[in-house]
Amino acid sequence: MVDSKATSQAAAQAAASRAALNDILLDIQRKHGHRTIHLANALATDGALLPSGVATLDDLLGGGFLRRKLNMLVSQPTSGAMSLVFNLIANAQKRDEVVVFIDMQAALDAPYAGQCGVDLKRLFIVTPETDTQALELVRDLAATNIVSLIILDGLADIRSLRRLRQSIAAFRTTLLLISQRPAEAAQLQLGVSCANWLYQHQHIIGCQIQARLLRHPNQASGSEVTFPLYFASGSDGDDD
Amino acid sequence: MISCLLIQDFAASVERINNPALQKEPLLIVSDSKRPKVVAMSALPRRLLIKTGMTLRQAQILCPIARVVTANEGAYQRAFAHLLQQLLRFTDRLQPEYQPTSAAIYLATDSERQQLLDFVTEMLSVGPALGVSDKLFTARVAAAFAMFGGPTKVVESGKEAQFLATYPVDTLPLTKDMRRRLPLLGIRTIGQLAALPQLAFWEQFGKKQLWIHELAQGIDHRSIQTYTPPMVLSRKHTFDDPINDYQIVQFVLRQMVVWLIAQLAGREAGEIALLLQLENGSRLELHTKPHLPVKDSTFLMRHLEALLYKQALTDSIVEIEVQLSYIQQPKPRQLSLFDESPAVTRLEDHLPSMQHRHPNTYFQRAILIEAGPYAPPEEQFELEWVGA
Repeated sequence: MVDSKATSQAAAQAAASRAALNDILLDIQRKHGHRTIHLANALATDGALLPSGVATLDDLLGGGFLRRKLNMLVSQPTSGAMSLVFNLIANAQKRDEVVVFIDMQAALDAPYAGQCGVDLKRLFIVTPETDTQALELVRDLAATNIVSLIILDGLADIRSLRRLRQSIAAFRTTLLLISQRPAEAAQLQLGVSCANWLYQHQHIIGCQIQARLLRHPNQASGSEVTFPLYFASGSDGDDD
Repeated sequence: MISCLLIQDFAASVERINNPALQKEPLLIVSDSKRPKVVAMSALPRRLLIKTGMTLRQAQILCPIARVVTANEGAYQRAFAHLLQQLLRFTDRLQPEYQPTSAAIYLATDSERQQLLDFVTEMLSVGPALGVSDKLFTARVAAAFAMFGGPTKVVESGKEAQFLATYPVDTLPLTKDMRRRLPLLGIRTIGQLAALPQLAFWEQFGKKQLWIHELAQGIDHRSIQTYTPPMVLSRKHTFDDPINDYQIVQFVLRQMVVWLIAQLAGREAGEIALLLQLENGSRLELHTKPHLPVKDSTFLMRHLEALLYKQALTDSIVEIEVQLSYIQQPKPRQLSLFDESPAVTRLEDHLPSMQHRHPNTYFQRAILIEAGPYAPPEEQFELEWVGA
């Protein structure tokens, strides 16, 4: 009897202290901005990873691309990286997540994206004129806390990315940058290349993708996997 | 009748009003960036074939004597809003079309033409051109004609097609595809386009573009709506003695913020302006477009403090003014007992404020269109604007 009374008192005290702590956090956030302080578990829970949709690649990445972090696909043209990105977008859309594609070079192949399973009606496409505009847009889109995945393709100056790291850390957005050169600021870097082409009746139907982990905060760098990626019907494989 | 008032080199004339020392100087107005680009210019550089988008270096090669001024987009837009406000004395049916290079205003009136021209000339110190016609598009072309031929050009009712016939086809608001294909079909003037049978035009460019064919024939169904000036909330405080103590300024700002938020009454503001009149006679105008709309006092105060501390004050403050603009009602949402609205819809709700903050960036969606089997990928889809 005494024990249960003591337990309920302890629980009430714990609830009161939690409420007080919450008030203090809110007060600090109100005074100094919502990015200044948050509980660590708020960052760790609520799906810290964005699955890529390819099981082998997810194993390599420890579950998927990192939310609240700057992810980077380092690839050369025709390496299959764009097909991989369209698969990632299609998978995110299946989970009702909002995706924004920032296309700096206005070179998005929308018909092929549609063939890869991307719902074009739910994909927002933006083509800013300058890198500065694009980075400010990423910041604002992340701050809405609605956008889950932002693809940034064709940024000319990848040196200015460092400031973005802090901006997106407070929000659950995954920023995926597609570039031909690795950027120092990216927390996750994945090198993608085409190991060989897959043929059927002398037609290219896909490619064997070699993904190499160049940098990851939790996984060993240097490990790599190879997996087949089939192009959507109608593509001859040159679209990437 | 519709009058189109065309003001060439609007930004340059605003700069000259704000700084009379620039009155007789050729001006290059450039963007505030590491590699400045020309955004507007005065008459002489324009005649020397300087175009917007050129780098400053290229422009200076063509016109080395031009004075270079950094663009103050907020000041130009405020001047344009002020001009519209003043033009309401002629008619309340106005339609603005703003660009730093040339601003056009359509008015649903054709009386008091000379008074209108005199009024704008006096306000901006530049001579505007006036095009008058029954149709909106013809009035715009007539105004561009009047820019070279004389201050006013009137196109009589029923003679719109005849007037437009000799103009190049590029004068029409063509799509990129039409701009490429029309010269290939041998069509170079509006008259040649108007002479095409409607069915042939439909088959070539689709039903959606039929209105361009109608424009070429002098048919324009668009009308001018009543203009409602954008609401601006403003609060001013004049100090008895000049102040250089930040704590006192903060205290005054806090009081102004409480008043402004009470006046907002649940609405949201998209832009904050802090105007400081200094003892030495100079005036500082500080602006910000926050990433979220302003609706509470803490948020507003934080942005005002950031604006205040960003600027190193050279002298004591005599007068302080806070302005909230781009005020709009929060978008009503359907309440649901069971689930939240889809995230895509919620992002669309944010797009107007996002658009306001990034005016040159558009959110688009790809729409697949029917194209031939050998059409390249870029011709197999169109981009459609989302939101505003």
